[in-house]
Order: sequence, then C-alpha cells, then structure tokens
Amino acid sequence: MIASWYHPGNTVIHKADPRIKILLLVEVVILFFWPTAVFWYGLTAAVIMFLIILTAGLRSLWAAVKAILPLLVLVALLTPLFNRGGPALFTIGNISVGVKAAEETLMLILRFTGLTLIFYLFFLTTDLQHVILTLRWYGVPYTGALVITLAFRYIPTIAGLLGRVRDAHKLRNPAEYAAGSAKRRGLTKIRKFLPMLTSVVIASIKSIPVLAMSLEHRGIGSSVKRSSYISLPPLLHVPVQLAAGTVTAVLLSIPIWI
Amino acid sequence: MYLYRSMENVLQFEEISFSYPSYGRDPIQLFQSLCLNLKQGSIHVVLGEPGSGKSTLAQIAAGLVPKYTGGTLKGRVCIFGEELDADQAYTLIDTVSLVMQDPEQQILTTSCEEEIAFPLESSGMEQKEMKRRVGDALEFFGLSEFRRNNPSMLSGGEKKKLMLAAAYALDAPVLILDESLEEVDASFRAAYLRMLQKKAVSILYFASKRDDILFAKADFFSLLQDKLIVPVERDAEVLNQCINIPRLEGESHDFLNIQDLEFSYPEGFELRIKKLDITKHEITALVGPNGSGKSTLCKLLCGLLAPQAGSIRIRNGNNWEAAASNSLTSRAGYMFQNPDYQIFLPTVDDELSYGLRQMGLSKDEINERITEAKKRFVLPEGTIAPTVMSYGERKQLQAAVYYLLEKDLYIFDEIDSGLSFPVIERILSAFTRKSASVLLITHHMGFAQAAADRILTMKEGRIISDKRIVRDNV
Repeated sequence: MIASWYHPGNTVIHKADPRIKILLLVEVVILFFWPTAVFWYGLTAAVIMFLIILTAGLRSLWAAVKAILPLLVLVALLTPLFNRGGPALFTIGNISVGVKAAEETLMLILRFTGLTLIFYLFFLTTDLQHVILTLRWYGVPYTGALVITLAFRYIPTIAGLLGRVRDAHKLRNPAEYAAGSAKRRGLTKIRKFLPMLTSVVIASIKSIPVLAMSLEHRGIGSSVKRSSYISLPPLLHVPVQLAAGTVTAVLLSIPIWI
Repeated sequence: MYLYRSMENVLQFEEISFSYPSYGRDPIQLFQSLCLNLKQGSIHVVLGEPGSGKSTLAQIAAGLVPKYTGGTLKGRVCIFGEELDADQAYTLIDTVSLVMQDPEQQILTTSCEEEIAFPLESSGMEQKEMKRRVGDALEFFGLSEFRRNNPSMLSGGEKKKLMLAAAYALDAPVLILDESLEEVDASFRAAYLRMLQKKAVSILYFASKRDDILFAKADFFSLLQDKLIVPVERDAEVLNQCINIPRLEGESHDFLNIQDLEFSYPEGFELRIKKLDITKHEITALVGPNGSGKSTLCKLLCGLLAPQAGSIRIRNGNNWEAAASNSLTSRAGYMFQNPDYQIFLPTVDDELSYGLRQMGLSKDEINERITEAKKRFVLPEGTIAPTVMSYGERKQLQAAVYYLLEKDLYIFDEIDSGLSFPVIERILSAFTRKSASVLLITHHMGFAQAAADRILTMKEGRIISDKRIVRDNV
C-alpha cells in the first residue's frame, strides 16, 4: 500500500529534497498537536488537500479520505457523547450537542485528517528508497531502516495475499460470495472471514524462515560496510530548497506564535 | 573467505545426513550419508520427486539449513575445498548464489532495480559498478521496463526472472537453482543457460521432471531418492519419462464463447481476444512468454475479473447466455499455482468435505466420495494437517478438493511446476472422467504437446496461434 502510494511526477514537491520534506512533515505533525484555534487546523488541512490535488489529482485525495472515512464517522458520532455541557447547538432526541462538543469533534476530525494526509502527501511524492536513505542520513541505523523497508514491502504483499486467498475461496464456494448473499451478514460474515485469515496467516508464518534465509543469503549480518545503490543529492546543491523549506517552516509555525 | 580458485570439485556434499525436528513424532530422516560433487563449470541436474528433499539440500549447500529450520545435520559441505561455516552463511555472498523455488518469499525490496542491487550493496560494491551490473541484468532478463516497478506487481515467471537477475548481477561462480527455470519461457531458458555455460558457471540444478532445454545442456545427472543421491546416465529411463494423459471422455462441443474481449490494468497491460471458443471434453494448453496475459485470461474465464468490453457467453443446454461473473465463478475451478492459498482447514478430511457439505450431500455420501478421492490422489490419512504435508502432497490435496467439486471448466495454473510427471499424470487423469473442459497454463512445451488436444499461444495480450494436436498416446 504505502510503497504503491508513490506517484511518480515532476512537481516541486517531488523534486524537493527528502531531508527537507521529512523536517516539514515533523513540523506539521507537531502543529496538529499544538493547542491552537481549530481554524489553523482547518487551514493547514485545506492546504495539504490542495497540494495532493495538484500533485496527484482529486481522485487520489478521495482515495485517501475514503480510507479513513469510517473512522471519521465514528469520531463524529462518539465525540459529542463524551463532551457534554455548554450552550446547546442542536438536539437529536435526548442528546443535545453543545458548541464545545462540536468544536472538539471538528478539531479531532481535522487533526486526524490532516495527519493522515500529510503522511500521504509525503509518500505520494517520495519513493521508498529515498525515504530509507533519508532516515539513514538522519542517523537511523541500517537495521532500523531495513525493518521499515521490510514492513513497507510486506504490507502490500500481505494485502495482495489476502486478495488471492479471497479469490481462491470464492472459487471453492461461490455461493458464499455471490452479491447480496443472505449468508454474508453480521457475525456470519466475520465467521466466513476466518478461513481466509487462516490461509493468510499460514502463508505469512511460512514465509518467515524463508525471509530470514533470504536476508542472510544476500549478505545481511556481514561486517562489510554496506554501499548504496542510490544517493541523496548533496545538501549544498540545494540552497534554494533550504531557503524555501525555512520560509515554509516559519509560515507553518505562525499558529504556534499566536 | 572462500577463494575462487581452479579446482575440479567446487561444491561437495560429504556423507550428509539430515532430519527435520520431529515435534514429538518419530523423526523423519531426509538424507542418509548422501554424497555429491559439483564439478567446475558443469551443469549438474539432480532429479527428485516432490518431497524428496531437493529444496532442503539446496538450502544446506547455502548454509541456511538447519540454521533457520532446525533439524540435525551431519556430514560436511565443502565449497572450493573449504568446509562451509553454517553460522556465517552471509560469507558465501560472492561465491554461491541460491535461487529458491518460490521467488515471492525471497523478494526484499519495493522496486526491481533495488532488488537486484540489494546483495551488491551488502558486498560493499561501488555505486558506479552496481549501476552497470543492475542495468545489464535488467536488460538481459527483459525487465528494463519494470526497473522502478514494485516486484509484487510482476507475474510469477517475471518474479523468477528477477531473482535470477539478482544472482546474475552478483556473478558468483557457483549457482544453485531450485526449480528456478520453471515458469520461465522456453526461449529465455535456452539463452540463459547458454550465457551461464559461456561464463563457465558451475550449476547445481534441482528438478522434479524432465526439461528438454535444460537436459540437453546438462553435463551430469543424479537421482535424489531414498535419502541418497545416485548418479544416472543421460539415457536412463528415469530421465526420459514421458507423460501420458488420456483424452477426456465424452463428445466435444463448444460451451464457452468469447467475442471481442478487452481488459486492461492501470499499469498499461491490455488483453484483447477477438474470438475464442472453449470446448468441453478437451484439454487446452495455454502457453506464451511471461506477462503475455495467460493468467489474466483465465481470471476472466472464471469470473475473478470482469471484462471491460466484449462478451463471454456460456452454453446452457442448447442456448447461449451472456455469462455474469458469478455464473462463471460457479462453473469454473481455478487451481492456483500455490496450493496454500486454497487450503485453509485443519485436516485433510475437513478440506475434502468442505465443498461436499456446501452441496448438501449426506454424511455417507460425503465419506464415500472422500475415500475415493484420497485413494485416487494418494493422500495421507484424513486426520493429517495439510500444513505438515509436502508441497507435492498439498498440490494433490488441492486437486482432490477441486475434483470433488462439480465444474464445467477446470483451470490448472502451472500444474507442472514443482511436480514430477507421474504426479501430474495422476492428477490430470482423474479429471478425464469429468464432463468438463481442462485448461492448462504452462511454459513446458513438451508437457503441453503430450497432455493437450489444443495449444493456444499468447503474446502481449493476444492469442497469436491456435493449434490442434494429434496425440498418439490416447
């Protein structure tokens, strides 16, 4: 998934140095946790959405939002229940939703959406090899970077595996998977998911020793200093980016100063 | 550590005995005082039935077993005359390259070029040299267009090529190939072996059946059987086994029709089939290079993918009806290459009875059919867990599961991969009694010609030839 988020392109964000991008990413994350007005959360989230549209199109933005939509709905439904008090904004049955609760809900939704989208924008415009090189540049040990690479490698693999297993099960018992099948509701649906999960877990567990073999067979564990197939551009060659990054960082930190 | 120096035997197994951990049961001895010498610059083929221990032996040679699997290993493995240090298998990186049977599990990175570069980075190679080697490997293996693609998006054969490309870039003098050329197209197999011979690479190839291209180039043959390796001559009967699949019983008639079918993936691959009829009581082989669209066509035929244009019609009595995906899914069975995707229940009996219970059969009838299937496919006791069965046994269980389901079309994806001819023969012969059509995806032309009544050749998403075969073995 994350590995396949990368959307090749020639935009300014694509071309920006990943070391600067990762710094800005951290700053935006801090911003979304900084106690400030909801307006700033909204503005930042809107800017990120605009950048995603510019970079990869509206459909790409919708794909990311769609993935977190169930959680956003859950937040919208549950937050007012735990934030009572203050003047009522509106009432549904016995539940009255106050201004404070509405603000809290909006803030949580914007924070969660903003954080998701800033990471999405980062992976959308930075290929994984550069992410790993950047982490290593910032001092993350190679083994740490390798663990991250393998995690990113295995997320789409397991997702793909689940798809293949689902297809295989569908072919063995098509009636269960027919559209609108009465059998596939509620708990039954969860119960029917278990065999698929079993196949995925078995296949995943079986792959562990082979993965370990593959790593050692390809030199992991050796004391030879590891070289790198690609390199990050020299920082000195990107002063404009540094300047632009600094300006962006200052602009982003306005809510912190206010 | 292992200096590449001129000597006759580059890899030696001396009195190797090995057994896997028993987990409370009686330990099974896989090898008993097994010996083998791989001579410099030679191609040595070791032929063995599924489950005979070919993969284990390959991994012992690379120092990975028993380190990662457990088990008891006795004897010595010597590489260029020096005993292998099994605690430091990584030291073999520039001496011995192993390409495992399942490439999927070996892939470590998220782009093809990075995958090839990974071991080169481990050996500390300079970036310029790495770029040259990665570029050469991508070009030789026809993967240049996938340079930045995620390997998980490649077809099965392309993934195998990618792992071979990684070994090619390392340029180690000893190459251990565990059925690594299965699923790789024939023309490429020949070119690849020619190149290796030219470079005088010493190759230990583990195979489960005859491959004309490989066997023609091999210098030595051995048989892995009864815990031992026995040398055999080129003309030995065991190396020249033929497959004999009986013709499907019943009169042939078209039952599935494709017109102007179109399907494309976002990555750009397009499948276009102008017209195709699939005939009942007929075995059709689908051949073609890796990435030519064979699996995509089969997924369309069994309703796992929906056509973007054109039609698939299915015969219902005397009428032809447009076939919806659900209808195709219930009438077609697709046996995936990896049996583990389709096996998910605790015991053999559970697996076999699952589909029969869905069909609403009585307990006695279910038991009767299961007993017959177990006998036909030579399956172990019904209480055995499929996870502890060998690959060949799991493949036979997968086939038995489909044998018990009533389908009009049975698709076998690379059934010949990793199985011996007698096992393939046993599986396919069972299906000849069905009132159905059989479609075989394969890269093995000899197998296609021996088993099929018709061969469809695909290239770049099109069917480029449709030939009838006159079989003399039926």
